[in-house]
Amino acid sequence: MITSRAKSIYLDLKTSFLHALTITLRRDRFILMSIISVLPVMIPIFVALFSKTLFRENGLEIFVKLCEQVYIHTIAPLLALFLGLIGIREEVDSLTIIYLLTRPVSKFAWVLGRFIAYFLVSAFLMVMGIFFTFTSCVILGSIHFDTTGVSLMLQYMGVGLAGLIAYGAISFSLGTAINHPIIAGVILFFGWEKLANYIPGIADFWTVQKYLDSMFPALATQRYNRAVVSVLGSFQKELYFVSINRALVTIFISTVIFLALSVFSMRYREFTKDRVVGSK
Amino acid sequence: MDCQIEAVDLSKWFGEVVALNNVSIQIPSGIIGLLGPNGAGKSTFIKLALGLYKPSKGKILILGEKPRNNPRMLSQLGYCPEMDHFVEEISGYEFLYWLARYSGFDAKEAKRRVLEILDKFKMTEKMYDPIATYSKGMRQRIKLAQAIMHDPSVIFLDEPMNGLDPSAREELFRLINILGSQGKTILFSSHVLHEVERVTDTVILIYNGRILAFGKVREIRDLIQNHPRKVVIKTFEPKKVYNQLSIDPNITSVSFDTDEVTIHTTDPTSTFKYINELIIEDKISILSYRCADEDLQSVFQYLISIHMPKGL
Amino acid sequence: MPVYPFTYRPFEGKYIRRFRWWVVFTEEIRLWNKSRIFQILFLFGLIQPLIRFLQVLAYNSAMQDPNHPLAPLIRTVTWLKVDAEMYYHFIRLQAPCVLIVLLFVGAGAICADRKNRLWEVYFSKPIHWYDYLIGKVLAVCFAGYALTFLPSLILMFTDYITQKNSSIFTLFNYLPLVWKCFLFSSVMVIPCALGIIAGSSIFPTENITVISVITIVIANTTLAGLLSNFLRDPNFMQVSLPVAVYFMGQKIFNISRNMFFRTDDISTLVISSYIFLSSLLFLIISVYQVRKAERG
Repeated sequence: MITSRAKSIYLDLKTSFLHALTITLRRDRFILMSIISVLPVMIPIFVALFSKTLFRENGLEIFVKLCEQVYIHTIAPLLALFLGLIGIREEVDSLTIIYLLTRPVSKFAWVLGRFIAYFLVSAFLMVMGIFFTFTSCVILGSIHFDTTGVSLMLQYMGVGLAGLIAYGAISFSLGTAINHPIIAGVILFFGWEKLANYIPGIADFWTVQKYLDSMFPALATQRYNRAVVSVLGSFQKELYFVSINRALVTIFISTVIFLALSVFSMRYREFTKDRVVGSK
Repeated sequence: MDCQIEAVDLSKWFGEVVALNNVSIQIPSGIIGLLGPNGAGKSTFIKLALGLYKPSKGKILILGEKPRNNPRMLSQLGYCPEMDHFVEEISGYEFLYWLARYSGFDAKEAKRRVLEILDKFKMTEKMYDPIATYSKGMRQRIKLAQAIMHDPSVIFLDEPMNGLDPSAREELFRLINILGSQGKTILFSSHVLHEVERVTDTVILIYNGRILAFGKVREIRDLIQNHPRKVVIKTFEPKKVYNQLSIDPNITSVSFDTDEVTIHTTDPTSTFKYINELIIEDKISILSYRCADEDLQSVFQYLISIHMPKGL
Repeated sequence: MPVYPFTYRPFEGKYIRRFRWWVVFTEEIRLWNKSRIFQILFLFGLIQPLIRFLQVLAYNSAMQDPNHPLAPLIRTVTWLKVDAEMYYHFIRLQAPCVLIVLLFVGAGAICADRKNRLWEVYFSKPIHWYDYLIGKVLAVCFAGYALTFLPSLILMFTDYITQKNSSIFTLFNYLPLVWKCFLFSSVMVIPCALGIIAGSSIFPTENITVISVITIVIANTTLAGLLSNFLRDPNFMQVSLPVAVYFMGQKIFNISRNMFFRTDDISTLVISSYIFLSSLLFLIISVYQVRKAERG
């Protein structure tokens, strides 16, 4: 009995994943996000070509800033909104979801299948973007394809993927649970997240950004200076950051909670919009 | 009676609007027409039966089980919605293929079933075109195809004739009859009596969220025949027509205006016969006559007046 | 068979020849005014005006009463002062709310009509593409002005009536400030509204319009910040539309904070041209799309 149920959930998950993947890869927004994800690659090249000052930042500094400010703080939430939230919302708004709700599909498998498809597509875009940005930063020097450089790149890729998971789960729950999720998502990711980080220690604990920031390689641009790593780095960590392990656990738990909320909404919300004559 | 769909004190309201009001009914297998004007609660009843809505009060059971979030039960149900809901960019084939996969078929079986049903609905030629390019009739056929391709035992068709041309309608009537003869339960909603009559003789009359009657179409016809009907006669001699018609015992009231006479009759057949005789005998001359209330709305009004306590 | 000589009664009213956009404008306002989400967002946008209103009341009552216990404190806190700069900061801080509200009202303005096939209805009536577009743009702009310029006027009026020595003549002293507030609000609201309307005319759904507009604003600002940082050249900040709008506000209110290396006049010229050309581009996109729809 349990085996047949598990098998049925696995089949639903596979169908949902393949369906979401084929639909997402053919959407215009996938092409748009692909372009946006590789745009930062142009910045190091632009800097190399047009910089007139001797005091411009070096390749390492540029790579770190691009990864932190562009990929993790900006592109990760955008990918979650574009590929995660809109993907779900498209089904709800066009009411094609009623075909799905009248099919014998496990809602848990459906949500998880779509989430995995979203994650794979957006992870591909993020990983490719960070890789090409790293390659173009190598032109500017002070960062190379050596163990240290590649390890730094992999760390940022890991943080980026954690960001995609957390932002994606929130987007999924917004998409299934509320009626105007896009405006809410924009306010949450680009309003609340930025605002709350101005109040460290209180409000920022309720943001994804805080936990992602705490996973950044400690003082990446100063990592050759061991004294700074040991003294200033640990001081900052204690005061402002949560530990990497705690951040990972928090992101994992919040992802599970938001995905569960999404499954709950799928099970208990009424998605059909047509109402009887005279209703509001 | 083999009960396929059972509603017990079923109610559904949206805010202050009561869409379905304390409905209790047991629906047997076969083809059943769900008849009622727009906004009567037909779609709400169907959506409750499919588990798309959660009842505000009471319960609904399909084959003895609650349908909402019940995959085992949903695999037995087919639904053709009233509205067009499609992802417009994908092809008809793709739309049906993924729904077949969601119904639990593997890729090979899903493909086989989709090709078979598309052939049945004469859509093979256009199956790879985007749905956005389909005509209203083609979209309707795709909706019907998805409702029956997984071979469900209970099928809900919400106003399926909308947008179909006469030949497609005939085809659909034939298909519904075939499905009915295979022992499937089909709940077919419409607001047109003669549409329902083509496929079934059993109907449920629904109005303002309440079930008014459940029975044979013949009995509904009798109700139409039996309740007093309003006839409007156009004439240049209203007073003369008035005088002649006043003596008919079936006519309960007569009134006249400058160019027309309005009568209420308890037996329309004999009244029409009487009017024809008067015309033939040249006792009156009229331009035209017509029944002012020979439609379902008047039957609904009549049934409500029977159900309604006096003074309300 | 009777023959009826007058089977059709011709329209005896007057056709509206001017201001036909008014129909589109009022319909648009009626639509979003019914939405509860809009009401919540709009109320959220009125929090700052309410705080500023209290600030004006507190400042004027404290400053005009030498015995007021809070007077010494209020005198020393510069950001409590009610002057032209306060209006600049008020409108500047309204920018995020304006963007969100305008996105809510404008993102679906055109794409929802296309999706619901309302273009066919609109253009089968004596409404031209320009009536349609003017109606839509003005409706979206109206929401923006309702959060910036209108509250500024109320604040000025509050300031006026709480002044002890106010007379009908002192009312005229506010005219330059009214003009400045209107200009700054326009610099903020019009490009934003035109950008959102252009997005709505290109993209298929409201959701995609919202995210695309947000992406453009964020990408534009992030890119400007990064380039000016990497190349140590603040001139690159001019690429950012929000920064450009704030800079124009500073110029309008004569607040001298030149954040760019270029001389002030050149910066002003470059930035105002940038804002103007961006708005023009958005307008051309919208006009092209709507005219195409009108021609069918």
